[in-house]
Amino acid sequence: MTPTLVGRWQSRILLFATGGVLISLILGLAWGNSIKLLIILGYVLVFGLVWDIPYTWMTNLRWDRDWPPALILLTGVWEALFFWWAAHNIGLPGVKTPVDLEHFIIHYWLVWLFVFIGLQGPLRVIFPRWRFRGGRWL
Amino acid sequence: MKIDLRVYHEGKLPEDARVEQYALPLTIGSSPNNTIHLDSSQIAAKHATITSFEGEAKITTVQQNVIFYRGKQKTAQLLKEGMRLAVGDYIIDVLEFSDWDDDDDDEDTTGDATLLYTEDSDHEQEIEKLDSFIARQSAPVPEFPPPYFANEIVAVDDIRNGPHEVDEVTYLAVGGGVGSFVFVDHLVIYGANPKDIVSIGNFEKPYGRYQQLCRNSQIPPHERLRSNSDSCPDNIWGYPGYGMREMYHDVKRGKVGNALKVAWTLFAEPILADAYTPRSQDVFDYIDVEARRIGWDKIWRYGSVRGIRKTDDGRYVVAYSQTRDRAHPIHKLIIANYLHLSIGYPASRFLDDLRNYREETHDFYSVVNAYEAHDHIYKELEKNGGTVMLRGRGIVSSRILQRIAEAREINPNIKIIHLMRYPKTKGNTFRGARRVVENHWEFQPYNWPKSTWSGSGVAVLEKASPQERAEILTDWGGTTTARRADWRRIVKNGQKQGWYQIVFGSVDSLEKDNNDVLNAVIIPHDENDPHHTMKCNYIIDGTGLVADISTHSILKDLLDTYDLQRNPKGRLDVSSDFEVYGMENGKGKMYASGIITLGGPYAPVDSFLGLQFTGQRAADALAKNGAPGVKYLNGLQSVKQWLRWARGERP
Repeated sequence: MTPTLVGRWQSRILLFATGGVLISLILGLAWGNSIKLLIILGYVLVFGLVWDIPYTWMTNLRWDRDWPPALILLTGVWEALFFWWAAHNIGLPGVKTPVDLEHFIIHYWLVWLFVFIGLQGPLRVIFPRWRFRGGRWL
Repeated sequence: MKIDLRVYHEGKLPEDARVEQYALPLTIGSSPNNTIHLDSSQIAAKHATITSFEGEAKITTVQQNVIFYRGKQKTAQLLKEGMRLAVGDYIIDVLEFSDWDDDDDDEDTTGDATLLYTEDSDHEQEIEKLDSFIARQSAPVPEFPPPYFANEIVAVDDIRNGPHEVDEVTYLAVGGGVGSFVFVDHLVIYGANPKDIVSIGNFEKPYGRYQQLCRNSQIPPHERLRSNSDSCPDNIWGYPGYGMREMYHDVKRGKVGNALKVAWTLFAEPILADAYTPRSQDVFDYIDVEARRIGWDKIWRYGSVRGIRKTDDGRYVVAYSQTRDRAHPIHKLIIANYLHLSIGYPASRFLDDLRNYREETHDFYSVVNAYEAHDHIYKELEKNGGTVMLRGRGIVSSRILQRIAEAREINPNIKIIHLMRYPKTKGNTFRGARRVVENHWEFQPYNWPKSTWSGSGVAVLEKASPQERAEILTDWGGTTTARRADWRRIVKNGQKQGWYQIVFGSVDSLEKDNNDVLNAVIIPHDENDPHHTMKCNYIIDGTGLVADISTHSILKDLLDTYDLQRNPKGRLDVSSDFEVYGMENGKGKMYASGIITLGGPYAPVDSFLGLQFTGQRAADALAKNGAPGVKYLNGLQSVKQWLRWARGERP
């Protein structure tokens, strides 16, 4: 994938709003903390949209302007660490008492996996022009 | 006795010439009534004959005419399989002898016994016999394309009332190669009826010509192409990519280790691993599967296109020839509402000094283009050793280097002189990013930066003015090869062990000495260095294929007839839908794809993914224009079609 900034935003919002919400609801049902998981999902999404700006800048330093899967994993780790740090040190409204680390890890990485797999192909099946437009589907 | 020959003009690609079978004896000359008619001022009206005698075939020239074998003038030469002869500016590859059974020999001796070559036959008598043979063969050649092709606009009534068979279809894809196939695949998946679509080309398989070029440039079936996992000519969505499919098949065959290796490559490319690329044979096999799914065998028909004209009812007429046997010409016409032109590279390119040498000496044996069949060089190297001068530093040169390195394992007495015009220590730059260089080879996974296929590069180019496009393409372009561990090792070890030498300069003159060795006078890149001579046995030109569109007769005819504009790169000027400007005809539209559109709104036009992009754009435009059956594909409909693809069902 060689995403553009708008493409990153559109893809991220779409995948969080579909699989992300679904995973949060299912896990929330099992653990009884749906609202909290959805709030966490929202924070991770909003932070991610901001992170997409420096990512795009970094993409432009690469000759091929691509964003290899290995970097998607790396940024996934980084965004998880950042959220956990922010929740504990800045005090994000709505998650003043964060979920268990175990729950967070399961929830976060399941959503990440859904986004990762979505980016690697299935989105192309629904939107045949997505891959030629730097990740824009609208 | 019969003989399979491939005859082609020196400037053309052998891939474009059909292999034809001829019964012996046969005649060669520039007058149309020869068995092999070669239109050239360098060839006499009656130039030579090929005859058989006691199981051997021999070419003999008429009077003072000469032919060339291995760069030497000859008046007679026994033919063997695999030989390459030159007659004027034409090349004749001798491929195979067949039909040795008695019946055929009888027929030969009774029918054309007058032409059988005998050692002691009188020369004058031979000529006389030849004349009568030619006279017997000659028949009036009907004019084709028909005379009304002199007009810009052709009346449909004239077409229908003419002597030729006429078909009428909605969609016609001229070329019949991968570009045509991908466009047609889009049309069918978008809902067009396959019965309304025709594609005309020389090769039965959509990848026929491409496969030939691959083989010649040393990409055997098991070797990998320079193409992305998601660039799938058999799947308009590019999902699942070739990488995933390879993993799936590896696991099924129990090769879990291989599957894991592919998985790692896909995950780590291109930062922690070399880029994933598919095996050439796998790609061809997948295209076969999709061709069967969409009924390509009924869409494709054999033929070479001879002319294209607009009609007076807003359509196009295409004249094409289906002649396989010169004695029975088959000429047909086909009228279509929408035309798609995808004809690949118009011709091969030769460096000027090599072209001059070949023109002067007719030595097409020791000086070759990498895209020509040239396996004889590797065979000779493996047997006798020798020195090869390699020109160009693109991916084809890497492949050739790899092939020579393989030959060195059989015969270590092989050396390579890599002649580069100038040193390259720093890669191209574009807006703050720089390409990597190693040992004067510039690396890039594919032939254009990845962003130009699907990312920011697409938008950058589409927004740019024609002049800006030319400049941006220069920044992105240039000759590159893929970063592959084995190739880097060959370059490194070769330099260390002294059998691979990089020389900077250009060739001033080239000639063969008495020992059959090529002597190249080198003008060094550094002006202070003196000119010097380098000796080698073979020169392989890996600088590529030319795309000057006027070398293609159909394109030249269109440019002249309709006064078409060229873009700043000299290719066909096309819109962002890849519609050819100046070819619209009422409701009729003509689209193009491939290298003939380079310099327009998209950089990697000459790639699998580029063909998918242009095919999609053209199909989208047709859907917008209300072309019959073609519906814009998105969302649910797209998923439905993808499921049909996955299940192998007709679209």
